[in-house]
Amino acid sequence: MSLDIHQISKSFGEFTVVQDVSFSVEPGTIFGFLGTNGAGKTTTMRMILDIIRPDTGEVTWGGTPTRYLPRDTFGYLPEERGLYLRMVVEDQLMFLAQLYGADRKTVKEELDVWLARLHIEENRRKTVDQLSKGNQQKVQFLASVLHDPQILILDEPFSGLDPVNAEQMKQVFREMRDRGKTIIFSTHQLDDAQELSSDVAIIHRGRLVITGPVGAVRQSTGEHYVRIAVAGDPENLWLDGEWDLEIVRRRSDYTEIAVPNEEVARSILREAVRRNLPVTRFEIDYPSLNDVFLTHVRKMPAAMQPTREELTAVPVGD
Amino acid sequence: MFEPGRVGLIAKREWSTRVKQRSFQITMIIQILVVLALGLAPVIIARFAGDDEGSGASVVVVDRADAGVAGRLVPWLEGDGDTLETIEVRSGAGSPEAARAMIDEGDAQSALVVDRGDDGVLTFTLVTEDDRSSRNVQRISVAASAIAMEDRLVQSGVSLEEAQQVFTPVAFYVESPTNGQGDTDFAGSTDANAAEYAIAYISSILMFIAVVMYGTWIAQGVVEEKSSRIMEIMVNAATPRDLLAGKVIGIMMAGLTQLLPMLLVGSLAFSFQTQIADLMGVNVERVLDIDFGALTIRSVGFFLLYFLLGFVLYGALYAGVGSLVSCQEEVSQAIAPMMTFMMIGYFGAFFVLGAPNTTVARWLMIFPLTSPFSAMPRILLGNPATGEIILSVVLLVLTATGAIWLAGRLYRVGVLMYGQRPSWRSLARMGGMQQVAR
Repeated sequence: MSLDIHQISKSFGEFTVVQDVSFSVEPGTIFGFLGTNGAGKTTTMRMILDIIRPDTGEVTWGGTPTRYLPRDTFGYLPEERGLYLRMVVEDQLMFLAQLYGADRKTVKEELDVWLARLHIEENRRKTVDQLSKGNQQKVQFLASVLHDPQILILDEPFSGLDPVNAEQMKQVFREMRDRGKTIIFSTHQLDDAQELSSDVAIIHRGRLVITGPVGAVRQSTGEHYVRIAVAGDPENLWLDGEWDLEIVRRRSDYTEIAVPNEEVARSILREAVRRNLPVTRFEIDYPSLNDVFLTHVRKMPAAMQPTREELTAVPVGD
Repeated sequence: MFEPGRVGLIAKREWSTRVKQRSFQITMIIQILVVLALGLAPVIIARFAGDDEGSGASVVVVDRADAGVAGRLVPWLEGDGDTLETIEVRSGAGSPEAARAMIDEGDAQSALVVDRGDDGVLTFTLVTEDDRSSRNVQRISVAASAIAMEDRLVQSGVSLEEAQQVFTPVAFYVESPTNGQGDTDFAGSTDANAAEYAIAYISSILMFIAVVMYGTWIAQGVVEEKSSRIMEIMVNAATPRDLLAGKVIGIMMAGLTQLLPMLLVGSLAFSFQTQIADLMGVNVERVLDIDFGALTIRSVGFFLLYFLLGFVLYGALYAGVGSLVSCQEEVSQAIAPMMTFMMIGYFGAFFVLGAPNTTVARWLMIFPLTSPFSAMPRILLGNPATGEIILSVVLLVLTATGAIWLAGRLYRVGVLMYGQRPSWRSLARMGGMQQVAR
């Protein structure tokens, strides 16, 4: 019983949006679907939902093509928020849940719980256009869960949320997972995915870059990252010189170095100790999803190299 | 094909959001007031004009020749109860000055001063504000010349009785050339016919107004859902066909909610005109005398049938068109091709009202894009064969079904398409690729 995306492709006219993408989502997990803006995330999600059909390939849930599933299997949070602006929150949510086929009484009870859970009870009788952006986003989220779907498809769920609300939303995701829901969310903030999901798929220009458990994906480049900080030398200039180290980024709080293996990492620490430097931080880690993405993409042919616009959407640096 | 629960849910939402709108309610009230005013216009006009009883038409006779003119005028100025009104003849003003005063006070409309000249011939002077060519002046003039000749005969020795026999008013009727051959001239037709004419006329106008007004609501609603992106959730939750059917039905219901009270109030106002006039103490000479007994089950049934089918047909097309455009400004441009057919049907209806048994009328009734507008006049006023009516209805049902199918297809392709308006080729291609299942 897993959601299997099997070699789906989709073109609009001459333009290929998604090409030969495959990945699997285990039930009861949070799955991060990652890529820059315009990578084909939304199109892929719409194909999972059977809002549009792939030209080739197929999406199945427990072996059944999604187009044969009851409509209430899925809950969908579209990237471009969609609600009736002049309609009262409560009426609107009741309407949408019932449209999915949910029972009125059950939905009403669920709604009470959810409004309290997200601290938006006082907005219940307001129209959507009276709400703040963050609260509209919460209502939009409720519109995707009230009919109690098995699978949640959430397109950029954190965009427009302040850090407090984003944290609250992440907590809700974990609760939903613990209730057995399968959650697929897309984001271009790769760190959100690293924090939340057990598995990820990264796509670039409509093609799958890599997919698998977060740990495996982070190890896929074969590199280790060293983070080191030394008191009194924020730039870690001592690292320059005959070493020929690949310094990934210099931050004010630490410097990040890509190393081929742990032995090289330890030799850096030894050198620091030998020089008697006041080391305040030393850490060996795998590259972040962000860096994994960049490393993989840089190995691709020139035509696939990300443009400046695409990269500005991926925050380089922590 | 449809899920009634979902269609009903969507229809209910559409209906209740429309009905709750302030503009909806205000329009409804204005419409009711307008038909009420139209229906009661004759009574109201009579009420305000009617301070002076009988001001309609009256003539004061100042008979200085003492020729009994007042009495002799009466048979000449009697109305025929239809097109001619009775001109009341009065006496009692002793002098032309007194007569003028009566006119000034509104007690009489005109004064006829009669003198006998030196040659013994009667002369008449009519004091009136009316134009010389007005019908009443003409009638008084004809009467005066008859009385003058009658008087000359009497003067030359003929007895008064004999003279009066010669000058009895002639029976003189006016008829239009087509009368009596099933003509449909409003004024010249029988009461029942007039009522059917009115019903046919009103139903064509109503159909057109309803389709244009509420059809635009449908298209705008679709565009709004598209631009607010709620459509993405809606197409995930329900099939495009259910969304479409719910929207059309919901807005049709809202339209009926707005129109029916107006129709009810309007027909009551028209049919109880006489009673209302009595209540207000107004004497209305001529009310619009439409016998709504002609509102038979047959005519109402046909009206509802064509109204519902026509609305579904055009409503579906409006929704389909709405799903292809991305902003409100484009709606009117995009519906132009449909509008052409509606115009043909609508103006065709006026043609059919005048000539319900022509070939053109038959085709307007059979062709499904015009029949919602043009069928009623032919059914009520002409004599179409039963088979022809069945053909018309069957074609309309088939076309309406086809329109829902087509619009559902367009909806599926169109609702998620933003920006550029699609070409027909890309529509055909995408429609083809997105077949099966839901």
